[in-house]
Amino acid sequence: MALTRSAEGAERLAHVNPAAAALGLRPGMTLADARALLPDLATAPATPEADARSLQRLADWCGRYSPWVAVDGADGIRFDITGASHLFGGERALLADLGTRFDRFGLTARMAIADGLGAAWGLARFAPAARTVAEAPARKVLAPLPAAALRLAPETVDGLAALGLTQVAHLLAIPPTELARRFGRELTERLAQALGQAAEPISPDRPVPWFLARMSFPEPIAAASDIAAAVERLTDELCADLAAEEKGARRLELVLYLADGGVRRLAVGCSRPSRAPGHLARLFREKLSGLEAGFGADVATLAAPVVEPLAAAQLGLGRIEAEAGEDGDLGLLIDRLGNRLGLENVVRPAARRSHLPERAVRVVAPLAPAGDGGLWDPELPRPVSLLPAPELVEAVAEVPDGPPVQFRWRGVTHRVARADGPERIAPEWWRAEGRGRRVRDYYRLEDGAGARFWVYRDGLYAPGESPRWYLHGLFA
Amino acid sequence: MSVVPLPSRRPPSPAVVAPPRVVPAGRRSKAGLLAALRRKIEAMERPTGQVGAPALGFGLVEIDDALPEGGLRPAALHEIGGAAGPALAFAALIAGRRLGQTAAGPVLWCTARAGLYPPGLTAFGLVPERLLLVCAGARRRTLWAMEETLASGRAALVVGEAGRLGLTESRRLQLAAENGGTPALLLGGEGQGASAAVTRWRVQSAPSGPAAGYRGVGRIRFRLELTRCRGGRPGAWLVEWDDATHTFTVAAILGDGPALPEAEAVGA
Repeated sequence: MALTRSAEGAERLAHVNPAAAALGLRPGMTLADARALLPDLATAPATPEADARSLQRLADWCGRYSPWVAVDGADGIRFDITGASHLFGGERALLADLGTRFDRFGLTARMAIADGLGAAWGLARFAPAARTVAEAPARKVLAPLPAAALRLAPETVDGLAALGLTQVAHLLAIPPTELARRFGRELTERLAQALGQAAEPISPDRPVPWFLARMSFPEPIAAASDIAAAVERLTDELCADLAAEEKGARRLELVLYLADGGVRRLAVGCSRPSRAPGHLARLFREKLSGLEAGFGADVATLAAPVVEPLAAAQLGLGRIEAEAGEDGDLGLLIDRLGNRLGLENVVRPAARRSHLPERAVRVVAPLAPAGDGGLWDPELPRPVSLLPAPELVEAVAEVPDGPPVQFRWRGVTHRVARADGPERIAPEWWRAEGRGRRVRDYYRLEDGAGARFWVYRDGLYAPGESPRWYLHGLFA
Repeated sequence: MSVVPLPSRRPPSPAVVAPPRVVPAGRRSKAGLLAALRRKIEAMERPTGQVGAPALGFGLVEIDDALPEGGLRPAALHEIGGAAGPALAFAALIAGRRLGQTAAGPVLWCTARAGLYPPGLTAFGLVPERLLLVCAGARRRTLWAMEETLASGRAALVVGEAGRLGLTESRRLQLAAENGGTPALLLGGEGQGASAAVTRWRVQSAPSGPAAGYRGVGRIRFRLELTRCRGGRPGAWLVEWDDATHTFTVAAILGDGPALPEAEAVGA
């Protein structure tokens, strides 16, 4: 079995499985040569983008071990498990757990744990065993590995091989200044990194939040009630951490790591910083019903990526701080509405300094302090309902600036009994969208039955030009 | 506005009425006993805390008299139907009066589709600083938002554009309004069918009153009908809104029941 891709003018093998490799096929070989060697070779096109996405998903799932996870090249994942290995019973147990799960996913993987990234990289790829934990210092462990274990460019490796320096032990025997002179700085840097002398931090794919609460379950849980109970425990723990630092969360993210390799993320936002566990757990509960947990989650983490300072609240004598189940604040209600309907759908209108009716209203956050935007001019009559876009009407009106005497809108003809106007609104020439617009004359019209409309004429009469009429809103 | 005692023509509640305490004659007068009984019945009909909440009156004797408490019951569901523009204005009017009555909490307006124009509502007393717009989209989400807000009791008033409701849905909203002590207005229904709403209104536009200028639009008028009222009398009125003083007055009483055809000639 091999995967092919087109390169250098021919179909070549990109990857081969061990069975094919044993029969002599190598990546880079043309398909024709491969077929000559092995007529019944099964092939499929290589899909590097899909592979990269799967690798990213797998790396996300590996967040259950440690949040410092990143994808390494095209076929590797690197972790920083400082301080996390005790959660799994030690480094060997962690590797064993990781190995078992990967086997269950149907992936063959080689893994290694070492003090530094360079050493771990080399051990994972070139160590004789599929799973290694570096017990001895890096020098001793790396010595038997080939020179390619140092992450060198292929030309450098070939150059070293030509000189007979095939193993890391040979390189360690040569003073570093000599190596630098012959082969450049890159070699000595890589050597330093592998030995742990140069720092090489892992920069994770996803930002690691400062406030993080984690929980693992002996059995995977999938029922919504169980997940809700887990969320409550996590919010209690997280809020205790937040209280210790006098911070409140503005945004919370719940991540569930599923047993089958999937990851589910849920986020909620708060309009004001909050560390009330009941309120936060309730915000999640409303989103949990849509969650599909598959075979169940066995690790759940709750993080607060966005926090703001929140002073400790003064508790009144004999008064219980408003928490789980009770609303102490309008902000809590707005949070619940916003998280279910979308935070952009709960807004407060405010005035904008614009004469154009469709631009006169802007929306602000519901709890924002009343700004200095001013109010709309109370002298100007405005409709209670504005159409989303002005609709064309056929109107008969007196020239040059008389109101319509009759107009037809949505198939119904209205005879105008009374009219007010015109109110002239000029386009905003200082805005780019305002250029090319015409002056509008607005009229308030009332028909025989008492229905009142806001109709405007788009532009002025000129010889040879008859402007159009539009209906923009309905009055009370 | 003080609470008007229940009119005597209203039948007593079918719920179990505890027998009055037997007191020796001469200790309490009959009138006092009856008043105590009425208060007890009222307390049983509504959740605690709601008895004695001031009714939301219109400030107009003709309309307030038709309502059992002298105004809209503050912790209940009221339906407003009729033409779109006038119904919006009427709801804004009630909201404005409610904002004047209580200082706490905003007016929550749940729209199903955008169309509300706040500058036009300001004239009726609904200032934008105390207005919250919630665009819920689907009808089910609008009802959920209304129920949550009503139950929390944090809003001064809740208006929802949810169309026609079935009996169970309106009953749920009514219960939520009672529990939260918040009035709820429902717009967009056709005004038919069984409903748990306490009052049902229908607003239509009417030709405006005489105008100052030639052929100008005068003071706007509505035909306001109270088609259903629990414990009250249906009625219809022609009300007129005065822009200058921001008040409205009753221009004519159009009789009980559905409105008679409008026979006024339109001024030229």
